[in-house]
Amino acid sequence: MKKKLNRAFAIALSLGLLLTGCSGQAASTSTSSQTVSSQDVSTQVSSGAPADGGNIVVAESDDPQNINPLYVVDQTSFDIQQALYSPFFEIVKGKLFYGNGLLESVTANSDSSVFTLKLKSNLKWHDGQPITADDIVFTMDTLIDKNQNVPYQSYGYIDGKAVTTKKVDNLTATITLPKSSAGFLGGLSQIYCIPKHIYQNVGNIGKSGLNNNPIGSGPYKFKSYTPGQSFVVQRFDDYFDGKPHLATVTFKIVKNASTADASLASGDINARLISSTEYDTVNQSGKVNIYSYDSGRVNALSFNQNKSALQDVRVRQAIAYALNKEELTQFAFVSNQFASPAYSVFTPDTSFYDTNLTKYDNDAGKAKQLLQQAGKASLKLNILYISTDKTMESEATYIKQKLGQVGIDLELYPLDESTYKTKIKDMSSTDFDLLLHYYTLGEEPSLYADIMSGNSRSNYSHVKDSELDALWLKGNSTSDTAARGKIYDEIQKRINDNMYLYPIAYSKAFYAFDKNYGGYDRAILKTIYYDYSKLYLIKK
Amino acid sequence: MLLVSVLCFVLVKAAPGDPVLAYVQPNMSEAYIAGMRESLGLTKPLYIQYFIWFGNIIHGNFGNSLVNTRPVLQQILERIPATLLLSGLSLLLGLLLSVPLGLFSGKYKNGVLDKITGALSYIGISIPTFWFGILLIYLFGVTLHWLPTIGMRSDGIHTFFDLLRHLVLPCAVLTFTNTAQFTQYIRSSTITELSSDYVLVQRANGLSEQGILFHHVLKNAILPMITVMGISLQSVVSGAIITEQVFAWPGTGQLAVTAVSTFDYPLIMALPCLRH
Repeated sequence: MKKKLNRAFAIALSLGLLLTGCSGQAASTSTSSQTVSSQDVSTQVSSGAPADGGNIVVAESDDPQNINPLYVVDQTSFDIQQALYSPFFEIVKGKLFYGNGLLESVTANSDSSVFTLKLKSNLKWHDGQPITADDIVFTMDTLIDKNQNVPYQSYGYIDGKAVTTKKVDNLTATITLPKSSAGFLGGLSQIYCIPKHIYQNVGNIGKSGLNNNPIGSGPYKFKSYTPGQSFVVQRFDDYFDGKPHLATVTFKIVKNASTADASLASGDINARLISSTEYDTVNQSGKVNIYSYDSGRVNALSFNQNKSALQDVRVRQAIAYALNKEELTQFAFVSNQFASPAYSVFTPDTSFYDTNLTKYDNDAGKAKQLLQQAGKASLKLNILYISTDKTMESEATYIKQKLGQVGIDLELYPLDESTYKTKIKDMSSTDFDLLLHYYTLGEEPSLYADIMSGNSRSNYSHVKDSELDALWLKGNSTSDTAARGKIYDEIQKRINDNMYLYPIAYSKAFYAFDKNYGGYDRAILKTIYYDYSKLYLIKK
Repeated sequence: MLLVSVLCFVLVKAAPGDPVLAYVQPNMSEAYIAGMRESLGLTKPLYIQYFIWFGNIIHGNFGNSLVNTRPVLQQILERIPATLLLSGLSLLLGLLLSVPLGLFSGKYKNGVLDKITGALSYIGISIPTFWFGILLIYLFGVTLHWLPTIGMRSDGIHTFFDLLRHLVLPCAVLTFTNTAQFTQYIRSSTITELSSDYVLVQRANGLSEQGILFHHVLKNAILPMITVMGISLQSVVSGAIITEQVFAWPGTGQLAVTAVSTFDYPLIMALPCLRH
């Protein structure tokens, strides 16, 4: 789930982007109406002149698992990857952003089935070798190679058929899709180019020892890794987007959150993603600035339809009516500063977000009536959640109390995180009835099919609705904005009316940053800093 | 060793959930997941899995981590020096401090030293290591800025002094706990020994109290410590899980926490086997 949170965070491309390409003429996606500038990505202004050099210590909760960007599945590796590798491009606020990307432009043909990728000139790998179209072809071929077991190879397949990548010249390559796909560029933004001259002829790239000495394309190059202690990267002077300010970035491994908070206060750590429960403790130290932003995360309650009682829509609706969403959000997140009630499976910044859905305002009488109609006036259920997650624990406690008022006896079922994860991924699980979880899928609506379509492993409600599945497919392949909007309105309404999933809250995220450092305003603040080259130590 | 290996294997296999699912991400294809399960040998009968695993470990092959694919043995061996240093030193310091404290507390039972030592021992035994560690971090790291709060070394600095500065706080926590426990054992033995007949004989022979204490009582009073030390010695290798985690000390204790939290079962099974 954590990986998903990271990977999917940047996947955010609306079909509007492709529509231009579909309107008749070949269209470059680097036009001003479709791209976002460096100024646009600035969200908060940091003060102070940058010093040349210095080090920043970023806290990580675990060792990296695999730094090769095609195999990154954990938070720490993902954070480090941003320093070592450059993406093809980023998607910021729903638009293409080329600032820290390897590409100069992405151009779609008339039916958006062929994309032309043009590299910036004079790009170099960290070992000094030039980055060329051969690397793009090699990366895409590796992605679709079944023998290489790239976890995200689905980004290279459309309806089960692989994309084809060809070199045009040294700086240009084309990707041909088997059919047009509205979400393809969202996936492509998640692919990071790997060097052909390093990995060619390697049988199993994911397990290769070459990954321990990564050769990347990002603002920082590998310096050292001491297991259990730190991963250090140093400035890459030939970085294409300007010389990075800081000489080194140290990713320090600190498992304990309380220790990490203390280390932020002492200055042993300079930057850290914190939770809302840590906000007050960290803020009181006076040593850090805390930046908040919409995390894109939806906290939700799922109903396991592998259980017969929850296959009845009236039972699911009764549970929704038994709860007071505003009260639940306030109870679980302590303050509305940290979250707002959620009413759609989409986040408010997702394209085609619907604000007119039934809100299931708290009505205990109606809940009891629905339960009686369903013949479940007395019902015993359990609710699964992560035992160490304070927010989930509060949500579960509140839900237990409210469901008790309508005659549902709810048993709390907390599990440690690793067991919880294995449990919820079991497609046939009947061990739990209700499930507390969260997801982060970005601004592209087609990606939300992941949590609510037939065979998806993240369909934790185990919903089997062929009409809904068809709507997701139709939405992804429909080009007309208005028609697409109607499809996604219908999807949201269908999920809500059938109470397949009960969205609880849209939460905010917080990043604590040492006051001696600046540049976060240009670093594209998301779950992590996407462009470490813009961070700097403030000159004194 | 055989029994431990069976227990490790059975307990890990009995844990709820499919280990492969811990590494499954939504975008992974079914073929990829099936390949992962096959490559881990999880499709074979349980007893076959055990014999393959046991056959490998007696040849020193503990397999590769499911999380980072690195050899398990290599990961453990690279963490042992840090654990040996922290746990070994705190065990040694605990012993050195507890012997005189226990002896004199027993000798001067109910005296001022005994009362102070007793109070500190009770605190040391009952205080949660986690809480005490955080307390020291806030006091010496955040408030006084005397000592680093995390890790074993400052990046790029490889001096003995830097190592020593990082070692002080975690070592203090473990030493305090060890001293508290050991002191009470030695005090209790000292009181018993001082009431023995041979002490009366020595006194009758005119031997000084210091001579009796250090030449005769000490030798007998410290005997129970051999058992206690034997139990404590395994922590020198296995690590002090909580202390290492609180101070981000890169030892085997921290590795064990990582292994459990990520359900990295080759690592989970290897750690107890290596202790025995």
